[in-house]
Amino acid sequence: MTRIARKFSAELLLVVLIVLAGLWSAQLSPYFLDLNNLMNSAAFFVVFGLMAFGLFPVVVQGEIDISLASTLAVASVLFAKLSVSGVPVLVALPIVLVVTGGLGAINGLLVAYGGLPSLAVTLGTLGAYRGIAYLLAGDAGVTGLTDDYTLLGQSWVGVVPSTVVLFLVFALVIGVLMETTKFGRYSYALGANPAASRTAAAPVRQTRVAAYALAGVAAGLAGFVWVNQYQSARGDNADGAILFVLTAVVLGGVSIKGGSGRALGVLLSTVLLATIQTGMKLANVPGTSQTLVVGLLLIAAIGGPTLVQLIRNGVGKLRPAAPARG
Amino acid sequence: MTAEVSPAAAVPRLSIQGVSKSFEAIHALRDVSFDLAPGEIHALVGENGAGKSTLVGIITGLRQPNEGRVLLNGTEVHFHNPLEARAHGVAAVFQDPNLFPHLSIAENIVTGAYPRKGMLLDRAAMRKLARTKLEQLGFDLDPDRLVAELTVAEAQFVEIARAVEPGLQLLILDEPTSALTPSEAGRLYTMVETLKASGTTVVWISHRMDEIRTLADTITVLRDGQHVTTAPASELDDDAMIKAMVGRTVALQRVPRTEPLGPVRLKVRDLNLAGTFADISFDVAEGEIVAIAGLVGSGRSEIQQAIFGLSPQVTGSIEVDGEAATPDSPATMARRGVVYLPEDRDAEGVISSMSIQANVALPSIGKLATAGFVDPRKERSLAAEQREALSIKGEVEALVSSLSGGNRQKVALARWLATHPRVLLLDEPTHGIDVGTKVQVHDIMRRLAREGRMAILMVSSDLPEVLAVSDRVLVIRRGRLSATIDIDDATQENIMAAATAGRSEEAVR
Repeated sequence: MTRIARKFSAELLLVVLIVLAGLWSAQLSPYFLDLNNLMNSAAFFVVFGLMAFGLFPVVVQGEIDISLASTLAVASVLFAKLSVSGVPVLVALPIVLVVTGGLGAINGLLVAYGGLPSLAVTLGTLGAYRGIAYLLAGDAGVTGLTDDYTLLGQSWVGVVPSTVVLFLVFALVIGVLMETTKFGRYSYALGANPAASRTAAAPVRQTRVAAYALAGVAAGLAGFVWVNQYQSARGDNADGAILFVLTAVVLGGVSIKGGSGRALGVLLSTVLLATIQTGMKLANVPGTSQTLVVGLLLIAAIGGPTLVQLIRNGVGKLRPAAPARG
Repeated sequence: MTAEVSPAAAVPRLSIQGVSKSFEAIHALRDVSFDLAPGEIHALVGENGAGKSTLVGIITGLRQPNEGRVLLNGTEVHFHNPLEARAHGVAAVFQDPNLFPHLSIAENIVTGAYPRKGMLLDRAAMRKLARTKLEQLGFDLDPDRLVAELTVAEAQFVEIARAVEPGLQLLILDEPTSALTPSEAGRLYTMVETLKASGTTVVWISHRMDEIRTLADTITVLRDGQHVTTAPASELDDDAMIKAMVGRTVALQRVPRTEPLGPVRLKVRDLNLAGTFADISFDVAEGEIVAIAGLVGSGRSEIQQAIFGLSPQVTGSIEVDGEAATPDSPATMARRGVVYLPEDRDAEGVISSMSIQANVALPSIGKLATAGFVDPRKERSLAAEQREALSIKGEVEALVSSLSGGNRQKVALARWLATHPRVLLLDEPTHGIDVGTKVQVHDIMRRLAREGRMAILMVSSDLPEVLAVSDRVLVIRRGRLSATIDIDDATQENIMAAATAGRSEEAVR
């Protein structure tokens, strides 16, 4: 029991925080706990959650991808363009996902085969992909999407919006991928120690490219959800969203140094961040201050483990003869 | 145990009295007491995990004891950190140089006490200070060189020069020669003798019997966190020392091979890597252990790495069991049954933040998976099997970081043995491992070659080890194969001669 509690200590903490944030939000507004409000809020964060689960394996591998929101914009604009050109959504979907997967793979190739630092590479493509989105969309953006492209955003499975279901399925797929497959094993190993993974003959470079390509596909899906929800697309779609996305991943217990973290943690931290942001909206906190809060949370999440370690060391000093365990 | 100090040293330089230290439930040190005389070389020996590092940590203020006290020149001291210890003339130099690679030698030596001219750094004074220090210790190094360009030995010298300050009372050297060539080690011995003559007490931590013999005045043996003995070196012979360390007698001995050698498993022809090695050709047969001897930096490890596919630009031909193999990546070579254990096992050999199971299974994941999905039961049984076969201490869920060096090496080996390799490339397989585990590793190597029919190519700087386990010795000098010596003709002397011969002539030409 204690062993389970220890293994899932990060997740337990997140659950407690979600409950606290939920209570705070409920106390701010009686409408927070309203089922419709909860579901609509959840749907709003699907775009971010999809990108977080795309980023999760990349961070586990000890790398980063800050270009995802730009990839999303390429996707949303492409969907919109294809829609107004009369391409059916079921044809557009694979096309766009292949394109965004390819954009992700470009990041991966530059990092894995070019040996370039991922922060610099994806900062570059953050600009480049955003530029592509602007070029495609033009100044006015694209509106007037056909119904098949917006159906998902207006349908429900029971009381749950379809986009939320899509997100949960995607989260589950990524979770299973990381927990039970070769790709997952290699990801954790090379995040923990790339040199030792290489001498273990692990396909280091292929695994990296795969993670980036997957992240690109996730951003593509997020772009799909975007056009479903907003029925339009512009070059600046989801600009700045990466802060929320990276915070969700790191707050979920995925070490920014790589090698650790679980899907459940990412899911819970996405819910937590969504609850906090919704709460702040209810409390009429301006958007700029919301960004400030999320930014501080990111730093706290990165610094948290170090802080815990410092506190533990401090406690160790105060307690000269540590009692024997068990 | 304080009675053994000679009466001349009325006040010991350092007196350790009843020191105990535990981490959680593990007793790293239990009631350890002994004295160090002024101006002596005091060897501190013991297997990995005997408590040497913890004791050094306590002496230098890195750790605080739970019980007991430490007296420096008769006065009780409580250092809170290594800087404070250093201010009192107590310094330690550890195995792995801890320098700033992008700064010069001089800058590294004066770190923390930069000579100034007004507000500015006095570069001339800094350089002069560094040069004086280096010269006093007998090191001929240009203070302007960048540390990143130095060999491991030179970096070690710089670190020692940094530690040696006027008024130095006690210098602790933790396995200082583990990465040094014999001639470099010789320079270090001279330096230590100089320090001793000037009255500094030197604590020498080492696994090498020969150098303990050469240098030590007094020997202290620790075992399982407890003090076993402190005795003058003349009164403790090798057998007695090893027995005190491991609780039984152990010796590195040849075990004659009764099994015949099989056909050639690894055939290497004209291997070339620009600037590193050239014209390397040799065979390793089934059931054979071939050692590559030579000086550190002669290209030994690089040859192994190239065979394992870590240097894709290498030219030449490699055959495994008669079939040509292109060493373009570790994955290619591992598929052909060629596997490699790097020297730096913590950085490259194992993933210490992961479990034994995850480490052992990593190279076999492909075989444990069906359509990409890993079968956790197979993974577990594979790890359990290897843990059993190599007698690795610890449950399969235990993190590798919690294991001793010897057990970590076994994990590094286990992850490959699970793939049933044909050719094993071992780089310094027992580097930094205690005598007891070393013998175990040697037994495992013999078993793998003789019963497992593998071809083993081992790089080793430890000549007694080379003589004890190999069937043939390849000697590398400056990237070229300078001699092949059959084990029946091999001696430490002729190996060293082949490794160093003609150095001066070559330099002249």
